[in-house]
Amino acid sequence: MAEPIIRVQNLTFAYNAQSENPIVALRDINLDIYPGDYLVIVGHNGSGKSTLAKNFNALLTPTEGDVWVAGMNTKARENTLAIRSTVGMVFQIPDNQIVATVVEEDVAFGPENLGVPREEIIERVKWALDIVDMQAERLRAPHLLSAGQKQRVAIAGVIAMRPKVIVLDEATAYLDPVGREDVLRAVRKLNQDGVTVVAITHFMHEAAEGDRVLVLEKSRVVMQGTPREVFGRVEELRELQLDVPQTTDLAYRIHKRLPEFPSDLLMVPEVVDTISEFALRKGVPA
Amino acid sequence: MTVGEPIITVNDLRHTYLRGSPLEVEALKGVNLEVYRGEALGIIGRTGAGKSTTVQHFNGLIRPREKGKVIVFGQDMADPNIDVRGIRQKVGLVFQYPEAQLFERLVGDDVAFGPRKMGLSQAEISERVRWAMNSVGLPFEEFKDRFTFSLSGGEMRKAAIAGVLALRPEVMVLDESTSGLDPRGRKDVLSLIRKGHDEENLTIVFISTNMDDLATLVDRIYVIHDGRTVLSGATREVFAQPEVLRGYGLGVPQITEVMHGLKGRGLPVDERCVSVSQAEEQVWKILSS
Repeated sequence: MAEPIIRVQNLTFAYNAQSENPIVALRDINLDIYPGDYLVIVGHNGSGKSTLAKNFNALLTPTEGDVWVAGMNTKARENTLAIRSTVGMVFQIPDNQIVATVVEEDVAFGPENLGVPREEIIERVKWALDIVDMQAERLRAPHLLSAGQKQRVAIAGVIAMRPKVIVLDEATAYLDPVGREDVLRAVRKLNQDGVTVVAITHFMHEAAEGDRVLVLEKSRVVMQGTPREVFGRVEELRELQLDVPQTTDLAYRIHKRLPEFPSDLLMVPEVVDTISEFALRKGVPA
Repeated sequence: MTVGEPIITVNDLRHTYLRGSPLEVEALKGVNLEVYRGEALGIIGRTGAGKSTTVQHFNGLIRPREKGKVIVFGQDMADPNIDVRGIRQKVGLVFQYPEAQLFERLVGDDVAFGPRKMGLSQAEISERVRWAMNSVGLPFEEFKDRFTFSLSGGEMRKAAIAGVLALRPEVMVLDESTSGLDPRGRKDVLSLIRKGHDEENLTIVFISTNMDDLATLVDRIYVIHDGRTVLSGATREVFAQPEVLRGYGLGVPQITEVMHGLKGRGLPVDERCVSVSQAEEQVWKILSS
Protein backbone atom coordinates (compact mmCIF):
# COMPACT_ATOMS: atom_id res chain seq x y z
CA MET A 1 0.00 0.00 0.00
CA ALA A 2 1.11 3.55 -0.72
CA GLU A 3 2.34 5.89 1.98
CA PRO A 4 -0.48 7.87 3.62
CA ILE A 5 -0.71 11.46 2.43
CA ILE A 6 -1.89 12.45 5.91
CA ARG A 7 -0.92 10.47 8.99
CA VAL A 8 -2.38 11.36 12.38
CA GLN A 9 -0.77 9.70 15.39
CA ASN A 10 -2.05 9.97 18.95
CA LEU A 11 -3.25 13.49 18.24
CA THR A 12 -4.57 15.42 21.21
CA PHE A 13 -5.41 19.05 20.74
CA ALA A 14 -6.39 21.59 23.39
CA TYR A 15 -7.28 25.24 22.94
CA ASN A 16 -5.55 27.43 25.55
CA ALA A 17 -3.26 24.49 26.26
CA GLN A 18 -0.94 26.64 28.39
CA SER A 19 -3.70 28.12 30.54
CA GLU A 20 -5.31 26.77 33.69
CA ASN A 21 -8.46 25.77 31.82
CA PRO A 22 -7.43 24.12 28.60
CA ILE A 23 -10.34 23.07 26.38
CA VAL A 24 -9.59 19.66 24.96
CA ALA A 25 -11.08 19.43 21.45
CA LEU A 26 -9.45 16.21 20.23
CA ARG A 27 -8.35 13.20 22.22
CA ASP A 28 -5.96 10.55 21.02
CA ILE A 29 -6.90 10.48 17.34
CA ASN A 30 -5.20 7.97 15.03
CA LEU A 31 -5.93 8.12 11.34
CA ASP A 32 -4.27 7.45 7.99
CA ILE A 33 -5.55 9.08 4.82
CA TYR A 34 -4.21 7.65 1.56
CA PRO A 35 -3.80 9.37 -1.82
CA GLY A 36 -7.11 9.28 -3.69
CA ASP A 37 -9.23 8.64 -0.58
CA TYR A 38 -12.64 10.30 -0.13
CA LEU A 39 -13.04 10.59 3.62
CA VAL A 40 -16.17 12.04 5.21
CA ILE A 41 -16.18 13.31 8.79
CA VAL A 42 -19.52 13.63 10.59
CA GLY A 43 -20.44 14.63 14.13
CA HIS A 44 -22.21 17.36 16.07
CA ASN A 45 -20.99 20.92 16.46
CA GLY A 46 -18.25 20.94 19.05
CA SER A 47 -17.32 17.31 18.43
CA GLY A 48 -13.91 18.36 17.07
CA LYS A 49 -14.43 18.06 13.30
CA SER A 50 -13.17 21.50 12.31
CA THR A 51 -10.32 21.31 14.81
CA LEU A 52 -9.22 18.07 13.19
CA ALA A 53 -9.47 19.60 9.71
CA LYS A 54 -7.33 22.55 10.79
CA ASN A 55 -4.69 20.13 12.03
CA PHE A 56 -4.46 18.74 8.49
CA ASN A 57 -2.86 21.90 7.08
CA ALA A 58 -1.04 23.32 10.09
CA LEU A 59 -3.61 26.03 10.83
CA LEU A 60 -3.45 24.28 14.19
CA THR A 61 -0.67 22.00 15.44
CA PRO A 62 -0.94 19.12 17.93
CA THR A 63 -0.78 19.68 21.66
CA GLU A 64 0.30 16.04 21.93
CA GLY A 65 1.04 13.51 19.22
CA ASP A 66 1.89 14.22 15.57
CA VAL A 67 0.38 14.96 12.20
CA TRP A 68 2.41 14.28 9.06
CA VAL A 69 1.42 15.65 5.68
CA ALA A 70 3.24 14.00 2.77
CA GLY A 71 5.89 12.98 5.25
CA MET A 72 6.28 16.47 6.77
CA ASN A 73 5.60 17.00 10.45
CA THR A 74 3.16 19.89 10.92
CA LYS A 75 4.92 20.97 14.11
CA ALA A 76 8.04 22.03 12.20
CA ARG A 77 7.51 25.68 11.21
CA GLU A 78 9.69 25.39 8.10
CA ASN A 79 7.18 22.87 6.68
CA THR A 80 4.14 25.13 7.01
CA LEU A 81 4.23 26.62 3.52
CA ALA A 82 4.77 23.29 1.78
CA ILE A 83 2.00 21.73 3.90
CA ARG A 84 -0.51 24.45 3.01
CA SER A 85 0.17 24.04 -0.69
CA THR A 86 -0.39 20.30 -0.26
CA VAL A 87 -3.68 20.63 1.64
CA GLY A 88 -6.23 23.23 0.48
CA MET A 89 -9.24 24.25 2.57
CA VAL A 90 -12.77 25.30 1.57
CA PHE A 91 -14.95 26.81 4.28
CA GLN A 92 -18.68 27.08 5.01
CA ILE A 93 -19.31 30.61 3.76
CA PRO A 94 -17.73 31.25 0.34
CA ASP A 95 -17.96 35.04 0.65
CA ASN A 96 -15.16 34.91 3.23
CA GLN A 97 -12.90 33.17 0.75
CA ILE A 98 -13.41 35.21 -2.40
CA VAL A 99 -11.04 38.14 -2.95
CA ALA A 100 -11.25 39.40 -6.54
CA THR A 101 -13.98 41.19 -8.51
CA VAL A 102 -13.88 38.89 -11.53
CA VAL A 103 -14.27 35.12 -11.29
CA GLU A 104 -11.15 34.16 -13.27
CA GLU A 105 -9.01 36.65 -11.39
CA ASP A 106 -10.19 35.17 -8.13
CA VAL A 107 -9.22 31.70 -9.28
CA ALA A 108 -5.82 33.00 -10.46
CA PHE A 109 -5.09 34.66 -7.11
CA GLY A 110 -3.65 31.55 -5.42
CA PRO A 111 -1.31 30.41 -8.21
CA GLU A 112 -0.16 34.03 -8.75
CA ASN A 113 0.93 34.14 -5.12
CA LEU A 114 2.76 30.87 -5.54
CA GLY A 115 4.76 32.49 -8.37
CA VAL A 116 3.41 30.17 -11.04
CA PRO A 117 4.36 31.32 -14.59
CA ARG A 118 1.65 33.16 -16.50
CA GLU A 119 1.01 30.52 -19.17
CA GLU A 120 0.58 27.86 -16.54
CA ILE A 121 -1.76 30.07 -14.50
CA ILE A 122 -4.00 30.45 -17.56
CA GLU A 123 -3.99 26.70 -18.02
CA ARG A 124 -4.74 26.00 -14.35
CA VAL A 125 -7.58 28.53 -14.21
CA LYS A 126 -9.17 26.92 -17.23
CA TRP A 127 -8.79 23.44 -15.74
CA ALA A 128 -10.18 24.53 -12.35
CA LEU A 129 -13.17 26.31 -13.87
CA ASP A 130 -13.88 23.26 -16.04
CA ILE A 131 -13.94 20.97 -13.02
CA VAL A 132 -16.44 23.16 -11.16
CA ASP A 133 -18.37 23.87 -14.37
CA MET A 134 -18.05 27.67 -14.13
CA GLN A 135 -16.29 28.40 -17.43
CA ALA A 136 -19.30 30.34 -18.75
CA GLU A 137 -19.24 32.65 -15.72
CA ARG A 138 -15.49 33.35 -15.82
CA LEU A 139 -15.88 37.08 -16.49
CA ARG A 140 -18.69 37.70 -14.00
CA ALA A 141 -18.50 39.38 -10.60
CA PRO A 142 -18.41 36.75 -7.84
CA HIS A 143 -20.66 38.68 -5.46
CA LEU A 144 -23.50 38.58 -7.99
CA LEU A 145 -23.41 34.80 -8.29
CA SER A 146 -25.67 32.40 -6.41
CA ALA A 147 -24.39 30.81 -3.22
CA GLY A 148 -23.71 27.50 -4.94
CA GLN A 149 -21.82 29.20 -7.78
CA LYS A 150 -19.75 31.20 -5.29
CA GLN A 151 -18.83 28.04 -3.45
CA ARG A 152 -17.70 26.49 -6.73
CA VAL A 153 -15.54 29.55 -7.43
CA ALA A 154 -14.00 29.16 -3.97
CA ILE A 155 -13.26 25.51 -4.75
CA ALA A 156 -11.74 26.45 -8.12
CA GLY A 157 -9.52 29.00 -6.35
CA VAL A 158 -8.24 26.30 -4.02
CA ILE A 159 -7.67 23.60 -6.63
CA ALA A 160 -5.88 26.04 -8.98
CA MET A 161 -3.06 25.80 -6.46
CA ARG A 162 -2.95 22.09 -7.31
CA PRO A 163 -3.17 20.77 -3.75
CA LYS A 164 -2.96 17.00 -3.33
CA VAL A 165 -5.68 17.13 -0.69
CA ILE A 166 -8.78 19.29 -0.50
CA VAL A 167 -10.61 19.70 2.82
CA LEU A 168 -14.22 20.92 2.66
CA ASP A 169 -15.51 22.17 6.01
CA GLU A 170 -19.32 22.09 5.68
CA ALA A 171 -18.96 23.62 2.25
CA THR A 172 -22.57 22.79 1.32
CA ALA A 173 -24.29 23.87 4.56
CA TYR A 174 -25.98 26.97 3.17
CA LEU A 175 -26.68 25.81 -0.36
CA ASP A 176 -29.97 24.76 -1.94
CA PRO A 177 -30.40 21.19 -3.28
CA VAL A 178 -29.14 21.97 -6.79
CA GLY A 179 -26.26 24.10 -5.53
CA ARG A 180 -25.31 21.23 -3.22
CA GLU A 181 -25.50 18.69 -6.04
CA ASP A 182 -23.33 20.92 -8.30
CA VAL A 183 -20.66 21.22 -5.62
CA LEU A 184 -20.74 17.47 -4.95
CA ARG A 185 -20.37 16.77 -8.65
CA ALA A 186 -17.28 19.01 -8.78
CA VAL A 187 -15.80 17.27 -5.73
CA ARG A 188 -16.48 13.85 -7.25
CA LYS A 189 -14.75 14.89 -10.50
CA LEU A 190 -11.79 16.17 -8.53
CA ASN A 191 -11.54 12.92 -6.62
CA GLN A 192 -11.63 10.96 -9.89
CA ASP A 193 -8.76 13.18 -11.05
CA GLY A 194 -6.79 11.74 -8.14
CA VAL A 195 -7.21 14.52 -5.57
CA THR A 196 -7.68 13.28 -2.00
CA VAL A 197 -10.92 14.62 -0.49
CA VAL A 198 -11.78 15.18 3.15
CA ALA A 199 -15.35 16.43 3.57
CA ILE A 200 -17.02 17.53 6.79
CA THR A 201 -20.81 17.53 6.61
CA HIS A 202 -24.07 17.25 8.53
CA PHE A 203 -25.91 15.79 5.55
CA MET A 204 -25.87 12.04 5.89
CA HIS A 205 -26.74 11.35 2.27
CA GLU A 206 -23.64 13.37 1.37
CA ALA A 207 -21.62 11.20 3.69
CA ALA A 208 -22.74 8.25 1.58
CA GLU A 209 -20.64 9.73 -1.26
CA GLY A 210 -17.36 8.96 0.47
CA ASP A 211 -15.48 5.69 0.60
CA ARG A 212 -14.85 6.07 4.32
CA VAL A 213 -16.82 7.73 7.12
CA LEU A 214 -15.44 8.86 10.45
CA VAL A 215 -17.83 9.75 13.28
CA LEU A 216 -16.53 12.13 15.94
CA GLU A 217 -18.28 12.57 19.26
CA LYS A 218 -16.94 14.54 22.19
CA SER A 219 -13.43 14.84 20.79
CA ARG A 220 -13.00 11.16 19.96
CA VAL A 221 -13.46 8.90 16.98
CA VAL A 222 -16.43 6.70 17.93
CA MET A 223 -17.22 4.98 14.62
CA GLN A 224 -15.26 4.38 11.46
CA GLY A 225 -15.81 2.39 8.27
CA THR A 226 -17.39 2.40 4.84
CA PRO A 227 -20.66 4.38 4.65
CA ARG A 228 -22.49 1.07 4.50
CA GLU A 229 -20.84 -0.22 7.66
CA VAL A 230 -21.36 2.99 9.57
CA PHE A 231 -24.96 3.70 8.53
CA GLY A 232 -25.87 0.07 9.11
CA ARG A 233 -25.38 0.77 12.82
CA VAL A 234 -28.69 2.59 13.05
CA GLU A 235 -29.24 2.25 16.80
CA GLU A 236 -25.78 3.59 17.68
CA LEU A 237 -26.23 6.58 15.37
CA ARG A 238 -29.61 7.26 16.96
CA GLU A 239 -28.02 7.20 20.37
CA LEU A 240 -25.56 9.82 19.19
CA GLN A 241 -28.59 11.79 17.89
CA LEU A 242 -27.14 11.72 14.39
CA ASP A 243 -29.33 11.30 11.35
CA VAL A 244 -29.57 8.13 9.36
CA PRO A 245 -30.28 8.48 5.62
CA GLN A 246 -34.03 7.90 5.01
CA THR A 247 -33.19 4.98 2.70
CA THR A 248 -31.20 3.19 5.41
CA ASP A 249 -33.88 4.01 7.97
CA LEU A 250 -36.55 2.35 5.80
CA ALA A 251 -34.40 -0.74 5.13
CA TYR A 252 -33.62 -1.05 8.82
CA ARG A 253 -37.30 -0.82 9.84
CA ILE A 254 -38.24 -3.53 7.36
CA HIS A 255 -35.29 -5.62 8.48
CA LYS A 256 -36.60 -5.50 12.05
CA ARG A 257 -39.92 -6.94 10.89
CA LEU A 258 -38.39 -9.29 8.32
CA PRO A 259 -34.89 -10.39 9.40
CA GLU A 260 -33.85 -11.68 5.95
CA PHE A 261 -34.31 -8.17 4.51
CA PRO A 262 -30.89 -6.42 4.43
CA SER A 263 -30.44 -3.62 6.95
CA ASP A 264 -27.52 -1.81 5.34
CA LEU A 265 -28.98 -0.39 2.11
CA LEU A 266 -27.86 3.10 1.24
CA MET A 267 -28.78 4.28 -2.26
CA VAL A 268 -32.29 4.87 -3.61
CA PRO A 269 -31.94 2.44 -6.56
CA GLU A 270 -30.76 -0.45 -4.37
CA VAL A 271 -33.63 0.07 -1.94
CA VAL A 272 -36.08 0.04 -4.84
CA ASP A 273 -34.42 -3.07 -6.32
CA THR A 274 -34.39 -4.97 -3.04
CA ILE A 275 -37.99 -4.20 -2.14
CA SER A 276 -39.13 -5.10 -5.66
CA GLU A 277 -37.25 -8.39 -5.43
CA PHE A 278 -38.84 -9.29 -2.08
CA ALA A 279 -42.26 -8.26 -3.41
CA LEU A 280 -41.83 -10.51 -6.45
CA ARG A 281 -41.32 -13.50 -4.15
CA LYS A 282 -44.70 -12.63 -2.70
CA GLY A 283 -46.10 -12.51 -6.21
CA VAL A 284 -46.48 -8.72 -6.31
CA PRO A 285 -47.08 -7.25 -8.84
CA ALA A 286 -49.26 -10.15 -9.92
CA MET B 1 -56.36 23.54 7.26
CA THR B 2 -57.34 26.32 4.96
CA VAL B 3 -60.56 27.34 6.63
CA GLY B 4 -62.03 30.81 7.05
CA GLU B 5 -60.48 34.01 5.81
CA PRO B 6 -56.72 34.16 5.19
CA ILE B 7 -54.82 36.31 7.71
CA ILE B 8 -52.17 37.19 5.10
CA THR B 9 -52.94 37.66 1.42
CA VAL B 10 -50.32 38.43 -1.20
CA ASN B 11 -51.60 39.31 -4.62
CA ASP B 12 -49.39 39.70 -7.72
CA LEU B 13 -46.56 41.17 -5.67
CA ARG B 14 -43.58 42.78 -7.45
CA HIS B 15 -40.39 44.10 -5.97
CA THR B 16 -37.22 45.49 -7.53
CA TYR B 17 -34.05 46.08 -5.54
CA LEU B 18 -31.89 49.11 -6.42
CA ARG B 19 -34.51 50.33 -8.81
CA GLY B 20 -33.19 52.73 -11.42
CA SER B 21 -29.56 51.83 -10.77
CA PRO B 22 -27.32 49.74 -13.04
CA LEU B 23 -27.49 46.97 -10.39
CA GLU B 24 -31.29 46.81 -10.49
CA VAL B 25 -32.55 43.32 -9.66
CA GLU B 26 -36.14 42.31 -10.23
CA ALA B 27 -36.63 40.03 -7.22
CA LEU B 28 -40.39 39.52 -7.30
CA LYS B 29 -42.31 39.34 -10.57
CA GLY B 30 -45.69 38.12 -9.42
CA VAL B 31 -46.05 36.31 -6.10
CA ASN B 32 -49.47 35.10 -5.00
CA LEU B 33 -50.14 33.36 -1.72
CA GLU B 34 -52.40 33.14 1.29
CA VAL B 35 -51.70 32.23 4.89
CA TYR B 36 -54.57 30.81 6.96
CA ARG B 37 -54.92 30.95 10.72
CA GLY B 38 -53.38 28.01 12.55
CA GLU B 39 -51.74 26.33 9.55
CA ALA B 40 -48.13 25.28 9.08
CA LEU B 41 -47.11 26.56 5.68
CA GLY B 42 -43.90 25.91 3.77
CA ILE B 43 -42.26 28.16 1.17
CA ILE B 44 -39.58 26.55 -0.97
CA GLY B 45 -37.40 27.66 -3.85
CA ARG B 46 -33.77 27.99 -4.86
CA THR B 47 -31.53 30.58 -3.23
CA GLY B 48 -32.33 33.90 -4.87
CA ALA B 49 -35.86 32.85 -5.90
CA GLY B 50 -37.50 35.60 -3.82
CA LYS B 51 -38.61 33.71 -0.69
CA SER B 52 -37.03 36.06 1.84
CA THR B 53 -38.11 39.16 -0.08
CA THR B 54 -41.67 37.85 -0.01
CA VAL B 55 -41.87 37.18 3.73
CA GLN B 56 -40.25 40.50 4.58
CA HIS B 57 -43.48 42.02 3.28
CA PHE B 58 -45.44 40.12 5.96
CA ASN B 59 -44.44 42.48 8.75
CA GLY B 60 -43.63 45.63 6.82
CA LEU B 61 -39.85 45.31 6.62
CA ILE B 62 -40.44 45.87 2.92
CA ARG B 63 -43.56 47.73 1.77
CA PRO B 64 -45.24 47.11 -1.58
CA ARG B 65 -44.30 50.06 -3.76
CA GLU B 66 -44.96 48.68 -7.20
CA LYS B 67 -47.71 46.48 -8.50
CA GLY B 68 -49.37 44.06 -6.15
CA LYS B 69 -51.12 44.01 -2.81
CA VAL B 70 -50.23 42.64 0.60
CA ILE B 71 -52.98 42.44 3.22
CA VAL B 72 -51.93 41.43 6.73
CA PHE B 73 -54.62 41.07 9.39
CA GLY B 74 -56.89 43.25 7.30
CA GLN B 75 -54.35 46.05 6.85
CA ASP B 76 -53.13 47.12 3.42
CA MET B 77 -49.34 47.12 3.78
CA ALA B 78 -48.93 49.78 1.08
CA ASP B 79 -50.83 52.29 3.19
CA PRO B 80 -48.25 54.48 5.04
CA ASN B 81 -50.71 55.18 7.86
CA ILE B 82 -51.20 51.66 9.15
CA ASP B 83 -50.04 50.50 12.58
CA VAL B 84 -46.81 48.68 11.63
CA ARG B 85 -45.82 48.09 15.27
CA GLY B 86 -49.10 46.33 15.85
CA ILE B 87 -48.44 44.12 12.83
CA ARG B 88 -44.91 43.31 13.99
CA GLN B 89 -46.29 42.09 17.30
CA LYS B 90 -48.60 39.76 15.44
CA VAL B 91 -46.10 38.59 12.82
CA GLY B 92 -42.69 37.55 14.17
CA LEU B 93 -39.73 36.94 11.86
CA VAL B 94 -36.76 34.69 12.66
CA PHE B 95 -33.84 34.99 10.26
CA GLN B 96 -31.31 32.49 9.02
CA TYR B 97 -28.27 33.84 10.82
CA PRO B 98 -29.31 34.20 14.47
CA GLU B 99 -26.17 36.14 15.27
CA ALA B 100 -27.59 38.91 13.10
CA GLN B 101 -30.67 39.09 15.30
CA LEU B 102 -29.06 39.09 18.75
CA PHE B 103 -27.50 42.29 20.04
CA GLU B 104 -27.84 42.51 23.83
CA ARG B 105 -24.97 41.40 26.05
CA LEU B 106 -27.04 38.97 28.13
CA VAL B 107 -29.44 36.38 26.81
CA GLY B 108 -32.26 37.41 29.19
CA ASP B 109 -32.03 41.04 28.09
CA ASP B 110 -32.08 40.06 24.46
CA VAL B 111 -35.26 38.05 24.85
CA ALA B 112 -36.79 40.88 26.91
CA PHE B 113 -36.06 43.54 24.29
CA GLY B 114 -39.27 43.09 22.31
CA PRO B 115 -41.66 42.95 25.26
CA ARG B 116 -39.94 46.05 26.77
CA LYS B 117 -40.57 47.95 23.54
CA MET B 118 -44.21 46.93 23.77
CA GLY B 119 -44.42 48.90 27.01
CA LEU B 120 -45.54 45.97 29.14
CA SER B 121 -45.30 45.97 32.93
CA GLN B 122 -42.09 44.60 34.49
CA ALA B 123 -44.00 41.62 35.88
CA GLU B 124 -45.50 40.80 32.51
CA ILE B 125 -42.09 41.14 30.83
CA SER B 126 -40.41 38.74 33.30
CA GLU B 127 -43.25 36.30 32.93
CA ARG B 128 -43.01 36.32 29.14
CA VAL B 129 -39.22 36.05 29.05
CA ARG B 130 -39.29 33.15 31.50
CA TRP B 131 -41.97 31.39 29.47
CA ALA B 132 -40.28 32.00 26.09
CA MET B 133 -36.85 30.87 27.26
CA ASN B 134 -38.21 27.78 28.97
CA SER B 135 -40.26 26.82 25.94
CA VAL B 136 -37.28 26.96 23.56
CA GLY B 137 -35.21 24.84 25.93
CA LEU B 138 -32.95 27.55 27.33
CA PRO B 139 -33.99 27.31 31.00
CA PHE B 140 -34.51 30.84 32.32
CA GLU B 141 -32.46 30.59 35.53
CA GLU B 142 -29.57 28.89 33.79
CA PHE B 143 -29.35 31.08 30.70
CA LYS B 144 -30.65 34.55 31.54
CA ASP B 145 -27.24 35.86 32.64
CA ARG B 146 -25.18 34.08 29.98
CA PHE B 147 -23.33 36.17 27.44
CA THR B 148 -25.21 36.09 24.14
CA PHE B 149 -22.05 35.51 22.16
CA SER B 150 -20.92 32.57 24.26
CA LEU B 151 -23.89 30.55 23.02
CA SER B 152 -23.47 27.78 20.45
CA GLY B 153 -25.03 28.17 17.00
CA GLY B 154 -28.07 26.10 18.00
CA GLU B 155 -28.51 28.00 21.27
CA MET B 156 -28.26 31.34 19.47
CA ARG B 157 -30.99 30.28 17.12
CA LYS B 158 -33.16 29.23 20.06
CA ALA B 159 -32.49 32.58 21.76
CA ALA B 160 -33.56 34.39 18.58
CA ILE B 161 -36.74 32.30 18.46
CA ALA B 162 -37.39 33.01 22.16
CA GLY B 163 -37.06 36.74 21.44
CA VAL B 164 -39.79 36.47 18.82
CA LEU B 165 -41.97 34.13 20.92
CA ALA B 166 -41.86 36.63 23.80
CA LEU B 167 -43.84 39.03 21.61
CA ARG B 168 -46.61 36.41 21.70
CA PRO B 169 -47.08 36.67 17.92
CA GLU B 170 -49.91 34.96 16.08
CA VAL B 171 -47.73 34.16 13.09
CA MET B 172 -44.13 33.02 13.24
CA VAL B 173 -42.09 33.24 10.05
CA LEU B 174 -38.90 31.16 10.09
CA ASP B 175 -36.49 31.93 7.27
CA GLU B 176 -34.10 28.99 6.88
CA SER B 177 -33.98 28.68 10.63
CA THR B 178 -32.61 25.15 10.55
CA SER B 179 -29.88 25.61 7.91
CA GLY B 180 -26.31 25.17 9.04
CA LEU B 181 -27.26 23.57 12.38
CA ASP B 182 -25.94 20.17 13.40
CA PRO B 183 -28.46 17.29 13.44
CA ARG B 184 -29.13 17.63 17.16
CA GLY B 185 -29.67 21.39 16.91
CA ARG B 186 -31.87 20.93 13.86
CA LYS B 187 -34.09 18.38 15.57
CA ASP B 188 -34.38 20.60 18.64
CA VAL B 189 -35.41 23.63 16.62
CA LEU B 190 -37.87 21.62 14.53
CA SER B 191 -39.60 20.06 17.52
CA LEU B 192 -39.73 23.46 19.14
CA ILE B 193 -41.52 24.91 16.12
CA ARG B 194 -43.89 21.94 16.05
CA LYS B 195 -44.67 22.43 19.75
CA GLY B 196 -45.44 26.11 19.18
CA HIS B 197 -47.77 25.12 16.39
CA ASP B 198 -49.53 22.28 18.24
CA GLU B 199 -49.74 23.74 21.74
CA GLU B 200 -49.82 27.51 21.25
CA ASN B 201 -51.80 27.41 18.01
CA LEU B 202 -49.14 29.50 16.30
CA THR B 203 -49.45 29.94 12.57
CA ILE B 204 -46.13 28.85 11.05
CA VAL B 205 -44.53 30.02 7.81
CA PHE B 206 -41.41 27.91 7.30
CA ILE B 207 -38.88 28.66 4.56
CA SER B 208 -36.45 25.87 3.88
CA THR B 209 -34.48 24.04 1.22
CA ASN B 210 -34.41 20.87 3.33
CA MET B 211 -37.18 18.73 1.88
CA ASP B 212 -37.00 16.19 4.72
CA ASP B 213 -37.63 18.90 7.33
CA LEU B 214 -40.51 20.35 5.34
CA ALA B 215 -42.13 16.96 4.96
CA THR B 216 -42.28 16.49 8.72
CA LEU B 217 -43.49 19.96 9.57
CA VAL B 218 -45.80 21.65 7.07
CA ASP B 219 -49.30 20.88 5.75
CA ARG B 220 -49.09 22.99 2.63
CA ILE B 221 -46.36 24.29 0.33
CA TYR B 222 -45.81 27.15 -2.11
CA VAL B 223 -42.97 26.95 -4.61
CA ILE B 224 -41.42 30.27 -5.59
CA HIS B 225 -39.25 30.25 -8.70
CA ASP B 226 -37.57 33.25 -10.26
CA GLY B 227 -39.82 35.73 -8.42
CA ARG B 228 -43.13 33.99 -9.09
CA THR B 229 -45.28 31.45 -7.26
CA VAL B 230 -45.31 28.53 -9.65
CA LEU B 231 -46.82 25.69 -7.65
CA SER B 232 -48.85 25.18 -4.50
CA GLY B 233 -50.75 22.45 -2.75
CA ALA B 234 -50.80 19.99 0.15
CA THR B 235 -47.30 18.80 1.03
CA ARG B 236 -47.84 15.30 -0.33
CA GLU B 237 -49.37 16.62 -3.54
CA VAL B 238 -46.40 18.91 -4.16
CA PHE B 239 -43.86 16.16 -3.44
CA ALA B 240 -45.82 13.89 -5.77
CA GLN B 241 -44.37 15.91 -8.66
CA PRO B 242 -40.62 15.24 -8.47
CA GLU B 243 -40.02 16.06 -12.14
CA VAL B 244 -41.68 19.45 -11.83
CA LEU B 245 -39.73 20.22 -8.65
CA ARG B 246 -36.47 19.17 -10.27
CA GLY B 247 -37.23 21.63 -13.07
CA TYR B 248 -37.28 24.36 -10.42
CA GLY B 249 -33.95 23.19 -9.02
CA LEU B 250 -35.58 21.48 -6.05
CA GLY B 251 -35.83 17.88 -4.97
CA VAL B 252 -38.16 15.64 -3.02
CA PRO B 253 -37.44 13.77 0.21
CA GLN B 254 -35.32 10.66 -0.44
CA ILE B 255 -38.14 8.48 0.80
CA THR B 256 -40.53 9.96 -1.78
CA GLU B 257 -37.99 9.04 -4.48
CA VAL B 258 -38.00 5.46 -3.24
CA MET B 259 -41.79 5.31 -3.40
CA HIS B 260 -41.81 6.71 -6.94
CA GLY B 261 -39.29 4.03 -7.90
CA LEU B 262 -41.50 1.29 -6.44
CA LYS B 263 -44.55 2.67 -8.19
CA GLY B 264 -42.56 2.59 -11.43
CA ARG B 265 -41.92 -1.12 -10.87
CA GLY B 266 -45.64 -1.66 -10.76
CA LEU B 267 -45.95 -2.09 -6.99
CA PRO B 268 -49.24 -0.93 -5.48
CA VAL B 269 -47.88 1.88 -3.31
CA ASP B 270 -49.03 5.44 -2.74
CA GLU B 271 -46.10 7.45 -4.11
CA ARG B 272 -47.16 10.50 -2.15
CA CYS B 273 -45.53 9.20 1.04
CA VAL B 274 -43.42 11.88 2.66
CA SER B 275 -42.27 10.17 5.85
CA VAL B 276 -40.32 6.98 6.53
CA SER B 277 -43.06 5.56 8.76
CA GLN B 278 -45.71 6.05 6.06
CA ALA B 279 -43.40 4.31 3.57
CA GLU B 280 -42.70 1.50 6.03
CA GLU B 281 -46.41 0.77 6.37
CA GLN B 282 -46.92 0.75 2.59
CA VAL B 283 -43.98 -1.56 1.95
CA TRP B 284 -44.89 -3.82 4.85
CA LYS B 285 -48.41 -4.23 3.52
CA ILE B 286 -46.92 -5.74 0.35
CA LEU B 287 -44.20 -7.84 1.96
CA SER B 288 -46.54 -9.33 4.56
CA SER B 289 -49.32 -10.17 2.11
